[in-house]
Amino acid sequence: MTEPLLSIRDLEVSYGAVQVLFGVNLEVHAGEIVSIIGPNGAGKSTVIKAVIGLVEVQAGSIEFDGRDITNMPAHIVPSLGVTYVPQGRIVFGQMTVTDNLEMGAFLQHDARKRREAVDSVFEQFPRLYERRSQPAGKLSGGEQQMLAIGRALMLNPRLVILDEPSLGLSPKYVDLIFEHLLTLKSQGRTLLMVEQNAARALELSDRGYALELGYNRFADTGEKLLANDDVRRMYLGGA
Amino acid sequence: MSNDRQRLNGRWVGAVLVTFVLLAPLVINDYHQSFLLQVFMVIALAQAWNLISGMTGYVSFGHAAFFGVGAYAGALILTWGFPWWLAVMKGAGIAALLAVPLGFLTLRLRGPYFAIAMLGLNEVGRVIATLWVNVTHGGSGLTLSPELLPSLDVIYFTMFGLALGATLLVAWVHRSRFGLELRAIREDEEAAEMVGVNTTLNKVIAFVLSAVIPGAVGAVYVMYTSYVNPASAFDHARNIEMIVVVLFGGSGTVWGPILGAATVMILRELLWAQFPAAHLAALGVLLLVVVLYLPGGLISILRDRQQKRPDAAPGESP
Amino acid sequence: MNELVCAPDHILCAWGLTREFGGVQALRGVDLHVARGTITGLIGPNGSGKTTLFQVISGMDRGASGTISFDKESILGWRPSEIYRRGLARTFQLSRVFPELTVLENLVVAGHRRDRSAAERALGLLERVHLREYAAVLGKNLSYGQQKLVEFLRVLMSDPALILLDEPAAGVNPTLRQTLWDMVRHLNGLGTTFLVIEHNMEVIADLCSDVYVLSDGEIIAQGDFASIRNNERVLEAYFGKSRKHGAA
Repeated sequence: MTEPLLSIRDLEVSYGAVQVLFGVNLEVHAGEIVSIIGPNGAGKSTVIKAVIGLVEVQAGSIEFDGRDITNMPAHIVPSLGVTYVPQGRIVFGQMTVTDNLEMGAFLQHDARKRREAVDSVFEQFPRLYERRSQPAGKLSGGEQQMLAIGRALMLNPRLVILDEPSLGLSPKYVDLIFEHLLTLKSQGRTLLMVEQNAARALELSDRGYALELGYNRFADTGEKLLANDDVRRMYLGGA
Repeated sequence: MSNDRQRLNGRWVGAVLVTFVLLAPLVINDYHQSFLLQVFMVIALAQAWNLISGMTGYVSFGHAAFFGVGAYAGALILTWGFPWWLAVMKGAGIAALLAVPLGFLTLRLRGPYFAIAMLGLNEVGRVIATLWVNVTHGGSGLTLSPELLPSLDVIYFTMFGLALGATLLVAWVHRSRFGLELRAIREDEEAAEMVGVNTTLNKVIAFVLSAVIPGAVGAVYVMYTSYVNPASAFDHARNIEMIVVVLFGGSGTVWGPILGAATVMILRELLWAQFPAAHLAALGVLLLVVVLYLPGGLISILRDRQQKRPDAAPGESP
Repeated sequence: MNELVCAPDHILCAWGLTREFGGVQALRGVDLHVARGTITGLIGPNGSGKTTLFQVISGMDRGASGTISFDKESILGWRPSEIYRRGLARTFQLSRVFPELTVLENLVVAGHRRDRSAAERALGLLERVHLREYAAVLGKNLSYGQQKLVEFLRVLMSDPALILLDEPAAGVNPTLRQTLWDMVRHLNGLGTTFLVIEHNMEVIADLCSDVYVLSDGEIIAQGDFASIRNNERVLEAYFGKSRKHGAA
């Protein structure tokens, strides 16, 4: 069995005096799409923020590609091959689409490589190419999400982490974004995402983890979780 | 030091100062009396600014507008032959009258927008004074002949009365329910509204109170200088002075503006009275000092604030 | 359309509340009836409009259309301070304690203007939650959990008939949380009605006799928690709709 690309063991995280994760375990293998689902307060976002280095880990370990990255400063993480698409389509509204993408390749000093990366994102997202000179603030929600994802691809990461990619998007754009995510997988990328829309996320995912109040509750293939009624009921505190 | 003890000390100090002020004219010369008069003026203006900006958090960059209005109103009343005390009342009255509608308009604006709107009002005042030549004699200004004016002593005591009145007003507001509501507005206006504070009414009342004082002060000042023109009435430096004096002394407190005014005026006498042009620069330096080293003003050095929180309350897990 | 009458045993009625923000419909014709003396729950997935609904009812958001009747008065368009004085109070999700005011001042300012015994009442409330010795402490020097508790006490100062609680226990440690819910229960026993937004389903199941489920700006279910929990539409709202399993 191959070593997982990302491995989270017994993760404990507290915000001040309030503990939110009580020993969470999670693995992502190269080329997979893995989703983290669960009701409000489960700590889903906290898990990925811990991987990215945005929150401090009190106990447990996070390993990426064989390296211990627990509590690694957030600005180092992208250089290791892990990029992040934050919740809420955070884009630089006053800058053009192209400039936004360039911001994603901040660490890439070679201008030619940057341009190549921009071109490949435009290939992947023709819609962005059409709007390449428009300020990002003028794009629709779905287009902004594409831009945020495109930006995360600029450093050619091995692992892309997405925080609620479908949040606030119309059904049409949810379909579109999820299609793009599948395409990314077919290109050999690995995706880890937190999703509010559990059903759609599990449809898309190879495997999933269901968390509740900071604990692992279920872990299985996407299909099996989808078919498991207990998972559904967990959202209303019933499982 | 407990609040009661502080208050008692404050009252003693106040009593001593008041006595000194009342007796001073008997012993000091005109020059020093004028100096004190100007200190009183700065104190009165500072407390007025303190009332709206220090307590409510709506920082005004144009309160000199009310001073200017009061100055012209007072000057006109005097030229029409009415007694000086009527001039002072009219100055205050006109300022208050204008403050009501202006308050409703400007207090809708938050933060920097309010500050700039007030600044704009000051400029509007100056322009009107310049253009309304029939009434204000425009740029040449109004000169008041000596027989219209009361004596230096009268002006001295009136200005002192305004400084004292302004201070007592701030002290009362500070301890009153009204003051509590103003501070809540300063802290979080929406939350204050949510717990029943009628923020609009409170803000306007504070604004009007803060306009009445400069209005009266303006009228008294005109009697002192016997001359008013748009530049001196709506002097932008006066705006800056009001702000810096309060911040330097301690915004939102009762003694802060007094400390600030006294300190700034004394420093000015000692250091840059010879160079009037340096006044604004000096204020700038003081502002820097406040921002960098003394955010709470001079008062914060003198006051012990011991707000210790007990280590762990019963029933709360550490 | 029938005449919109709020039954006497309902303290709050809302009909057709609609609120749009730049093309996005945050509330789509919400109807709500809160029975007097109950603890009614308001649940729903993130972004469903729960807090917007509270903003509208409490008067902080005056851009909605529809009708709101509180204790027989139509309050849509009233300013928040008027609604509060009328007896409808609300707490915030993130603590909005006045930081530079003492705990006592925080409470007193929320009481009636002419109430001479406001300070006493405040101290009494603080006593109930073992915070009396914090009376002179500045709001900013309290722990987050204590701040939320003080914020809760603050709205009690005017003796409201209806209190809207927006996730009152979020970020509060378990001990203080228990104190809070105990107080809610106690006050409810004395006649105060509560409408509570909560994500903790255990609390909802335990506390609420009636529950409304809001999803995407609409009320999709109402009833006691047991029936809500098995409601297909509700499960779908939280879990999402899978394309493979067909539309509900």
